[in-house]
This record gives sequence, structure tokens and C-alpha cells, in this order.
Amino acid sequence: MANTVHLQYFAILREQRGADRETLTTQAATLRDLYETLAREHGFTLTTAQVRPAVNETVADWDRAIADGDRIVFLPPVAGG
Amino acid sequence: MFSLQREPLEPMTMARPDAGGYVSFVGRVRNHHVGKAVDGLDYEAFDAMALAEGDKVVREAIERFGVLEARCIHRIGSLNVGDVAIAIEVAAGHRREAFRACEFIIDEVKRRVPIWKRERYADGVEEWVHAWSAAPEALTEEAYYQAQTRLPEVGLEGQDRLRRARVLVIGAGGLGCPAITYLASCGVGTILVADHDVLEGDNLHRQPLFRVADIGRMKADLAAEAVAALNPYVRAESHTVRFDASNAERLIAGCDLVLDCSDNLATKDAANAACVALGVPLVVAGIHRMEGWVLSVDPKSEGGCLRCLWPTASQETRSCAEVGVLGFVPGVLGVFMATEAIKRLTGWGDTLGDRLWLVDLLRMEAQSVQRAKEPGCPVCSSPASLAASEPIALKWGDPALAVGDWALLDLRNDAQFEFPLDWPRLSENELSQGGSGRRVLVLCDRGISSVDVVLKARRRGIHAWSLEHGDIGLRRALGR
Ligand SMILES: [Zn+2]
Repeated sequence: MANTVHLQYFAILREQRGADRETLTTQAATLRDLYETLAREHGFTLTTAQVRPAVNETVADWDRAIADGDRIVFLPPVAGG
Repeated sequence: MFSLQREPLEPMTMARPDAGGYVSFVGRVRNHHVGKAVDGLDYEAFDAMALAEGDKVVREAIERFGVLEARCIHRIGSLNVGDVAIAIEVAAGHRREAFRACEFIIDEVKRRVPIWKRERYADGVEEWVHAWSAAPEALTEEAYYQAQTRLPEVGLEGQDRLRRARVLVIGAGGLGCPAITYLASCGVGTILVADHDVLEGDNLHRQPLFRVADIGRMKADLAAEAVAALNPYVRAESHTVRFDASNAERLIAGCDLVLDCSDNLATKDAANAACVALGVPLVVAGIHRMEGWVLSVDPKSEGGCLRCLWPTASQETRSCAEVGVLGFVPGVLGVFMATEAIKRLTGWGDTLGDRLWLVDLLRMEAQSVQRAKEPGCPVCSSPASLAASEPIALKWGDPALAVGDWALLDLRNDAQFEFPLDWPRLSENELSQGGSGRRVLVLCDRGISSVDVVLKARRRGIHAWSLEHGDIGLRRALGR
């Protein structure tokens, strides 16, 4: 089953993806599947243990199922100050 | 090193073989103040704090200027025109350090040591004067804040809430500089600055609280001096240490709020854990190039903590200097942190609550994401969850304290005064045997050890609460 989702990347993920947002159609069932697919494709260095996803303006678990139209944000921890 | 004296003061005379330069300063009562003739005056000190703070000033002078010896005596009691009010003497290897240390001592004593003077005017009127304020006489505290207190939501009451607040700022860097600036200018009464670094030249573009001439000095000291120069009605403490678990309790105890302005996740994790354990709200932020985030950890809310959001610290913890940063980016985030902190302290409007706020200054976009407590979070799920949703600590004045039958367990080591209510007293032994069926308030010196006692008691089903900030909080609430 394919869902169309809207992705947004922050900080180091934005740099590694080379874009700050994209809309794509995915077969991934969960956020974890989606992130791992993207990580392989774009060479993300951070693992799911380090990044936190949020869906539709709410922090989510990696095992959350993906629904059509989800607005997904990947949030890497950033410390600088 | 610093002492108070009721008897008349004589100028001191030091002499030691290793000192070549001696500087002494004598301050005498003058016969006029703001154009009014003065007959004499009375000095009154908040003794314990005056001695402690005075000693600190003299010690700092010795350390900072490398002098051999320094002493300062302040008169208290009734003085006539011409009497010596303060005497300072410094002995140093050379005269230059002696002059600088002497000037530092008189400036800092006037600014920081709680000594009040009441002037007796020739026309019979007496008036208390804020003796340790370095402000020009026309710039009263009311005048300083008048543009702010004019706002109906602030007023004198809101300003007073800020004056009584005590806030720790961890890190005097890119986030810390703007945060400290606005906490101080808006009137947060006591600001502790913890930073272990010296100022370097490549810090200045994002740390405009400092000056080129300051390069090489400790940033915590510089920040405290900048606060003093900016607002004579607030007090800043310099702590030249790296914040970590070993000093967290000492620094956070008695604080109403903590701002983590550090540049690394290890420090942010330590601040998060300590604030959750001590029940003190934390405002924390991070930046990356043109992006940043801010959130508040409120131990009383269901929004969880920093560890709930990011369970494992990332390797991606390169500093701003390595990654590169535009000077104003931490500036925007640091001011936002001060905004959140001041609103939390005063209750004005809405705070961030449990949202994570994200800002992208490259695209001028901001958004927020709702956070929630992770059930298995090692930091905030236990042991707090043992006590269900009931807060561990209550503030003095909390309405809950007026409901039901209470007993007091007083664990203070050096209680300066009696607990003001006539509740029955319990011993620790009586508590361990189940208390007396009453609610138990546990009062300790700082509101830290009482938390452990409360958690243990609750595990045995006893209805116990800690008094927030312990004796410090109580004294502050009662204005003692
Ligand atoms: Zn947590």
C-alpha cells in the first residue's frame, strides 16, 4: 500500500539530504521503515536511536504506522550554542 | 577578611616584608546627600549575608589581582559626620595591583554587600538609603523599570515577582549572552552564571555581551560584571565551573528556573537530569547553522524531558566554532529563552508549554511540535511516577497547605527561625513508623534531602510533601 507523505528535514539531516523538504510516495509501513530506506538512499549518518520523528506536529514513536497525507519531521539532536 | 564593627574605626596599617605597595581607602560620613544637609547616619547590616558576601569580595580581589593581603571593615550602628564608615587596606608586591584591588573592593562591597544606611537629615527627617546600589541617584529602581511596569500585565507586582526570582544560566556563550542580558535588564533579581571558559577572540561575533579588551578572562566573571554594569538592581554570581552532575545540586538548589545555554548534549543531559530530580523547570535550546530549537522541561507537566525526546546523545555534537554559525542565530534563540523564562517566572500569557519550538532563520519559518512523556524514560519516569501525579514539593503559600491536618518534619541543620505555623512536630522516627495519620510536610535546608525522605515515605503509603527550596524558599517567601 502506497502513501503520499510530506517530509521535512532539520539540521544535519537537511544537509545530508540536500533538501529541507520533499513530498514522496512510499511503501514503508512505519516511520522506522521509511527512515531506514531514506538513510540507505541518502547516506544519513544518524540512526533511529539518535533521531526523533514527529508526525502532524506531534512527537511520535518509530513504530507508528504511516498514513496517507502525514506531515513527517525528522529531528536530529543539535547542541551548539 | 571582611568584618563589621560597631565601635569607631581607625585606619589600618599593614606591614610585611614581602609587600612593596600598600593602598588604603577610608570612607567617611559626608554632610550632604542629594542636596540635603546630613547630620549623621545609621548603618544596618544583614549580618550573616554581609559577612559571607564581604568575605567573598575580598577573596575575589586577592585572587583576581594577585595581591598578598587585603582587609575591609565596615562600620555599623550610629555614625556622625566625619566618622569612618569603611576602611580597606591592601598589601601587594607592587602598587598597581594594590590600587586595582582596593578599588574593586570598595565598588563590589557597595554593590553586593547588604548594608543599608539611614540618613538623618538636618531638618529632622530620616530616610533609608539603598547603600550598596551603584546607580546614579536619579536612576531609582522605579525609574529603571518604568517603561516595563507601565504594562498592565507587569505592574509593580509582576516586577516584584521577577526581583525575587533566582535563575541559573549554564554557559555564557552564544545563547547565554543574550539570555543573561535580558534576564538582567528585565529585572530577574539573582542570576547565577556557570561557565568554565575564558573569552576567545572568535567568540565575540556571537557573544556581544563581551569586549575585545576582555579576551583571556573568565566568561562567568565577565558576564557577572556586565550584569552589574547593566542593572544595579539585580545581582549576578559568577561560578567558574563546568556544570556537571557533581555540582548540579549546589548550583540549582534554591533556583526557580534553569536556562541551559551550553553548547553540548552532555551538559544538556546533566542539566535535564538534575532539574527533573530537583523539580526545577529548565529552558533549553540548541542551534545548528541557521536553525535552532527551544523547549521547556517542566517536572510538573506531562510533556516529558529532554531525554524523552532524544533518548541517546548523538555523536553530532560539534561546537559552533567547528560547524560555523552566524552571530545572530544564537542571539535570536537566547532572547527566546529569556522570554520563555520570564513568562514562566511571572505567569504572563502562554509559555511554550510542552511544545518543541523549531526555527529556521534561513527561510524565516518557525513551527512547533507537541511533546509527551515517554513511559520508559530513565530520567523522568522514575522515581517520580511512584508518587503518581501528586507533586513531590509544594511551594510555601500553596493552597494545599491550608487543607487538612498537617504535621511538620523539620530536618533543617541550622534553623535560623521557628517554622511559622503551630503544627505538631514529627521526628524522622515517628514518620518511619507511619506518621500520625496527618499529612506531613518535610522541611530541610534547601528542599533536596527532603525529596528523598518524601519519596521513601510515599512508598510506605504516607502522605508526605517536601517544602520547595526548603528553608531558603521559606525565608524568601517570608522576606527574611
Ligand atoms: Zn523523560
